[in-house]
Amino acid sequence: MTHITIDGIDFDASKGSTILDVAKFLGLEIPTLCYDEGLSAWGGCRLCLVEIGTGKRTRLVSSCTYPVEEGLVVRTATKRVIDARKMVLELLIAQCPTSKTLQDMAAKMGLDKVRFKPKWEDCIYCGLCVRMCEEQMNAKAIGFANRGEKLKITTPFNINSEDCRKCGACIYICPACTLRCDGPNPENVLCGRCYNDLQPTCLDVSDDYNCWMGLKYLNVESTGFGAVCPSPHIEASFITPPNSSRRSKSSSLPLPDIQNAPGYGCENGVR
Amino acid sequence: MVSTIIEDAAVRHHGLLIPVLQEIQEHYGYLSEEAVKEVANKLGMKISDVYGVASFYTAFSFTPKGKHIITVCNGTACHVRGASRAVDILSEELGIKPGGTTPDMQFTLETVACLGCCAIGPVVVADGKYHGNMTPAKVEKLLLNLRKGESIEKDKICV
Ligand code: SF4
Ligand code: SF4
Ligand code: FES
Ligand code: FES
Repeated sequence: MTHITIDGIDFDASKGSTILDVAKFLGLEIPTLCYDEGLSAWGGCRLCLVEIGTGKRTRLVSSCTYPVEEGLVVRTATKRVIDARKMVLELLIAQCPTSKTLQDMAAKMGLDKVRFKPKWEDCIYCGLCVRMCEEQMNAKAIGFANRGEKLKITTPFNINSEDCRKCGACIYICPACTLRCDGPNPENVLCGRCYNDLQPTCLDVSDDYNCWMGLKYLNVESTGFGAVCPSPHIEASFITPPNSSRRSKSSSLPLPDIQNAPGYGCENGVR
Repeated sequence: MVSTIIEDAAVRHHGLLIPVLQEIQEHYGYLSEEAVKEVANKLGMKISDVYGVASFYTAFSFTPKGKHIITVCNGTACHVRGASRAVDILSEELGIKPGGTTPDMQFTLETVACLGCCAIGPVVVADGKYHGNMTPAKVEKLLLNLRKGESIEKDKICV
């Protein structure tokens, strides 16, 4: 057992667990992106930053990779932590504003501006797909290639890989593949947040109701969230069925036709 | 044969990936798809791993390179001493951009960021031979010599 203090709570953590494990156990919320319970921790996105140490000697570490140590003092929600996370998220959104996962996070964290030039890329290099393919699918069909600006996720030589099982797991786990809706202002770096100003978030809504924006079957009475739809933007024209190139993480939406797709089942390239 | 080279190299380098790739690169001037697959196979690795490493380093290339490889240093020191002029001249003379290979497979033009010999910049490396203080005139002369097929000693420095 390792004794740590996390947000003022004294806790005996089992050896080898990470700060994130403990926080989860105690119900302390830490946002994560490149972390998944079924995969090895990677520490790539830096969204799960927490502050460790006391007095003037504190520093930020990624909680998903930091193993607990005796006497460790952790704070998960100081101003420094929140600011750092927001900055990270701002950068991630600038890279890939089309990700619904990121937009939801932004809404949750109250991010209301993005100061960086949007790049509209379709990957944030979280490495989830690569680890998924390797660790769960045992295929290792995709990997990081090149470096620096040219870094990308791809199959060897950018062509169909014989190692790929066409399982679609990489697409399933990809946070950039959960495309945000064409909402009121698709050109905006931050989405309209029709539902995002409330909990549950956009992703939860579309998952539960399997509908475009969660709006088709939802109206003021039946939201179940006890709230009048906050969005002034919603008009009939806006409630359109998802166009096929836009995917939701919902399991009931038709899965992409991986078998017949060029490359790996994602129009954006290899996923 | 690719496979014999790989087997041989794999034994000599105790199955280490990068030296094996280096030998293939040296021998064939590039890493073919076949070679990468073969290496993965021989070393018991996944192709995506080999590809990841090979694509990381600029020393490896997936496309065939020319007979003569001309590398111009465009690091800070060489740049301020006018390396861009050397690049311009070579690009114009050869009709290719940096990174390109002439259609007759004679020349490949590359740029790098610092070769570690800034004192003699701007530096141009032609087939492993370092040429320092490269004025436009010297660049032209170098190219002429290469075209004439003058024999070049490898890894020699000439200032
Ligand atoms: S679809 Fe292919 S690349 Fe994606 S996780 Fe499955 S095996 Fe890996
Ligand atoms: S393709 Fe998706 S899962 Fe893979 S690294 Fe990029 S954003 Fe992450
Ligand atoms: S979740 Fe910890 S760094 Fe991404
Ligand atoms: S900058 Fe050219 S050798 Fe250092």
